Amino acid sequence: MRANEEVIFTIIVVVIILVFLAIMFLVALTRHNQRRNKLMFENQKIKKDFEQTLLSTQLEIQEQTLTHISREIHDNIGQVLSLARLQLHSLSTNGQENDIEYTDNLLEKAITDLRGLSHSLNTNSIKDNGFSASVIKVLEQFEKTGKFKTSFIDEANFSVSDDHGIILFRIIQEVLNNIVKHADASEIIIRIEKANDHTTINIIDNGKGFDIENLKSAESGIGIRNITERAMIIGAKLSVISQQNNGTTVRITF
Amino acid sequence: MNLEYLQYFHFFQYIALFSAIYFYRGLKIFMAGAMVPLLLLVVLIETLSAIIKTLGFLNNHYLYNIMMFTSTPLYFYLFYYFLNIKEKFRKIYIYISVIISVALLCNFLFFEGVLKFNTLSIIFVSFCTTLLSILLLFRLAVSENYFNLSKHPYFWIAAGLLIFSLGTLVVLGMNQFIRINNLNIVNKVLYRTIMPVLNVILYSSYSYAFYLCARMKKSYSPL
Repeated sequence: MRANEEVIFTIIVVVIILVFLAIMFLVALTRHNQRRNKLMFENQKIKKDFEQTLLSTQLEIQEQTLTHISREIHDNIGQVLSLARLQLHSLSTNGQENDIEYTDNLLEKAITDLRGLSHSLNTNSIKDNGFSASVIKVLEQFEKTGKFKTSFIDEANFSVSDDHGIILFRIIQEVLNNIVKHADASEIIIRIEKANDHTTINIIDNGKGFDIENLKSAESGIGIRNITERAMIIGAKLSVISQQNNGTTVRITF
Repeated sequence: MNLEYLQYFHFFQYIALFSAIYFYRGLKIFMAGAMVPLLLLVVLIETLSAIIKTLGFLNNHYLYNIMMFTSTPLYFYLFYYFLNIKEKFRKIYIYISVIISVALLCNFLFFEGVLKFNTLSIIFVSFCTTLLSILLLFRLAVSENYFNLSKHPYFWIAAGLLIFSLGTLVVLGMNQFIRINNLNIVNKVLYRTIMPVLNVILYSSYSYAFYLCARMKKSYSPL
């Protein structure tokens, strides 16, 4: 009887110890996993923050450069062209009035174009006019070329901070440049919508469209990457919807 | 028929089997589809064993011996996928699995025999499952994928098996010693107390793991 009790006791104790050790091992493993996950999560966050800071700095430098170029165009080249125009008016060459008037018109066009370019490059001008007004101004310039019919539809009564506005404006500029270069479009619509706490800016053209797979190629990828990186800074998502001969829609959601 | 030998832990086995069938799609995604035939085998043998005991036949060891050498290849098959073994080790793993399975069959047929409880086999099988469970837990812990360990089905399968195998290693490993020394009371105490608890731990871990398989199937993150 006593031998029985001893054996039972020994076996039960051994089993309890082993099960306890196994449970301790599992708890230690779970703790280790939690700590590792936390560390991985923090590392990812640091990496993301670093990338975002780097991108912001890059964009800031880019904006400063653009503002500098804009100022140079406005203050320097613009002034020189205005002086050239004044000088042209003071010329009195008989029989060549038509030529002088033609040159004057060319100079006037160059000054207007440069002023427009200067304004679109200048960050302060975007800040002063506001996002929507700046976009409308760009669309008006497109309209003036006579090649595009444009519309700006703001269904969301959209307002945005200056910093975000500049980034969104640059994205739209880049997309519009792409439309001019590649789309072969005759109509551009920019529509701002709001649904479920999300605002969406749609840039729609009626151009020839393209195969989305081509975006993966290195050359066309750079433009999209630039736009995507800009969008990332303000926490926006970018999607491109396109089909051959069926136009393209670039959608920025934030 | 009053099945007096049907104990409470049998219900945990049934629950595990039903949840395996119910969450089968999730199990398949986690390469654990073979858990269904494995649990079917366990439930069949355990229920048959209880019926045989109730009918008055004292020896049901041959049933457990059959379960041992039939369930072991299934375990090896499951762990082959759970561990996601690298190509160069795959052949070694398959060879070892086949050798062990054949050795268990030989022990059943020629050495310890059909009617006598195969103590050597149970010790060896428990040792192997302990080792495989630790290996799986280790792989989960060092995996580069980001997931919560306690929310991963493999963790619960390995944890349940580890605790069960360690317990069986001692309790069933001592079976022959207890019988030789006529320590029948010891046998009854051990089989009525420790084994049911170990079974409850194992099969409730399985059931929870199957539920996790179904829940995690959309965000599957293997090893």
